[in-house]
Amino acid sequence: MANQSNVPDWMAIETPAGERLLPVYLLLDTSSSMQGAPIRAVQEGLEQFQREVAADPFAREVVKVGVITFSSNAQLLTQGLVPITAFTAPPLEASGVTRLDLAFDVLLESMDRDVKRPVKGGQKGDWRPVVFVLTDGRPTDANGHQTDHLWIPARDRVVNREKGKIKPGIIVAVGCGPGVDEQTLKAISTGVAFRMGTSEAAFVAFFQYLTQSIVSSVQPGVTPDTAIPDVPLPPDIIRIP
Amino acid sequence: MSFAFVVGDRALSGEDTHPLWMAAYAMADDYLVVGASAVGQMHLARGRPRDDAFAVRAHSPWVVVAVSDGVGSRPLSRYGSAYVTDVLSALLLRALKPAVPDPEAAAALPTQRPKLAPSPDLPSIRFPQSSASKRAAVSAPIFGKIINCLSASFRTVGGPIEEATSPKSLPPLYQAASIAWQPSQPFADAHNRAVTGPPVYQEQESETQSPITAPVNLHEVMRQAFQKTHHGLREHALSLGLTLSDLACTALALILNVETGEVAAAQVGDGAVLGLTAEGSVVELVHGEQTGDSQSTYTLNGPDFEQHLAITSMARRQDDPFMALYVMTDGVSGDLLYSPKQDMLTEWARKVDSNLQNAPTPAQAAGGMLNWLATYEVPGSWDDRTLVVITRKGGRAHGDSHNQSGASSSAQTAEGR
Repeated sequence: MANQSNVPDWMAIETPAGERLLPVYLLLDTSSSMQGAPIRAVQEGLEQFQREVAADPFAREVVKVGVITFSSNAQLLTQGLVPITAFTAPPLEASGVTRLDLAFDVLLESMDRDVKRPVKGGQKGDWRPVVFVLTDGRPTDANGHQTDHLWIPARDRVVNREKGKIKPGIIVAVGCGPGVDEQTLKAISTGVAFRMGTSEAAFVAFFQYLTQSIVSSVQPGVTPDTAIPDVPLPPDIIRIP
Repeated sequence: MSFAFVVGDRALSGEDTHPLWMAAYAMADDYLVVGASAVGQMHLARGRPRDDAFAVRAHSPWVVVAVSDGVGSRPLSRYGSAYVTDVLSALLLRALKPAVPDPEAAAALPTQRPKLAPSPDLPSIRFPQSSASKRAAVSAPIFGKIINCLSASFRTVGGPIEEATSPKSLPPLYQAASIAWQPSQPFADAHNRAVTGPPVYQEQESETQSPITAPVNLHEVMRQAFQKTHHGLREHALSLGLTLSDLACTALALILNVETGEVAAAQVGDGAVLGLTAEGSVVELVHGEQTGDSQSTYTLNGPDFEQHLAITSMARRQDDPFMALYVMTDGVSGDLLYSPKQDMLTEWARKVDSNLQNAPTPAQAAGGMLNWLATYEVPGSWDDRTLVVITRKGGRAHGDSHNQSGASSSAQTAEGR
């Protein structure tokens, strides 16, 4: 709709700038079982994710990414949340056990530090973070023994927070390969959980689904927990009932 | 000068006629009323409809504004927002301006008056007949000419409309009009699901209108109107074959008495009602309760909505009266109220007011404001944008034009609930 020039000075009105951004956290299993083709596929998938999200005219303006890897330790490889247009997939190496609990601790720390809360007269708040967890097995302790005693309370500290604290909008758990446990995946997520194979095609499909989920979350008045479950699944990804 | 009008969105019945863009203007004594509502840029890009709505009703000396934002996650929430603005404004005005007896018309009526019809319109209101009013004598051909003139004025938004209103044979017109733009293609099925049934407002048999005695208790008027609209929304959902949550929406309302300067504002959910004073300060008239989560808001359909309903009423501010009032959805308030630059909010209010004051015609004022709402760019700000402004054209001192810098500006707050 073109501006009718007789109306005085509307285009000169300065609207206060202030961005509302969508934080996206990718919690990636880099334990030893991911060595070889799986970790390479994840690496390529991250690059694909960056290209495709940055290509969406709306998502490119608001998405910022944090990559947390977990094996024997957990690291926020991006050292904060990085705008998708400036995001470069960090190099990934697979070794060690599967300390998902440490990943949740790092996530909590980053949400409190890097995600903005709304302040009237101060700043717009970010959208609630979207969290994807990709793993090929069950969480372990420091010795590699499978256990739920560490990751469950860590997840609860992320999800069950007091009013006023940043909480994720949704946690989506995706299991790749034969070593995953569906009940564990469902318990990790806050709504939807999936499983997939470990072929290159499966990882490509996963990151395409990830892109579409993020793009669909970027809508006024829409929350990720309502948008993401409606995103159509590619054939290589199976929803866990 | 007496005035009466209805402009803006109307409740939707079976066919989805909710336009993508709506603009409206009206004159209410010394006040210019301008409303505009634009579909969000993302909605437009993705073929989704506008979920915002607004309506302005008036009968001198009262002007009533209602604004609503349908929840984005509900594909049919525009049915809720359109209903709420239509019915809420009707209920408010009905409470403020009860039926005025018309001796001539009453003599022609059957002895048994019908019950109030289940309609958001105002069937019980009869406009006073005076010797100055020619409406009763206006014939069909004249009305046709009136419609053509109004259409011509909107076709040339951006140009003068003197020629449109110059014919001397036209009766005095109340300057009020709405114009809307529909999409050229229907929306995708998910957003155009077939719904049936007319808008519904059912008077409950046991319901009695609490007497509103002078002086008018605007706080109570607001509370009752919100309550009735909430109940009506439930009935409306049933009549459309929908659930109440399908029609989830916020609701904001403003009442202004142009003679006394009394103002009342109410809000459930996000958005804002602001006032610009003569000294150039911006006041937030009412504080909508926040959920603490920027992605969620309280809505009128909620069973506990009254716990989150904020209402303010006030007499005319003698020392620093309001020169302009603004009612807006969060598509606009989200860009204004969360900036660290306090002066920017005041400058925004002044410039909007100034643009409306200086527009050559009310139609151009409305067109300009709509165009601006539809096109200004802020990263991440893609929501529908709705703004209704009531600005006082008369009775301003030279320094009240808000075209000058240097006036003190501070954000104040008004006491709520």
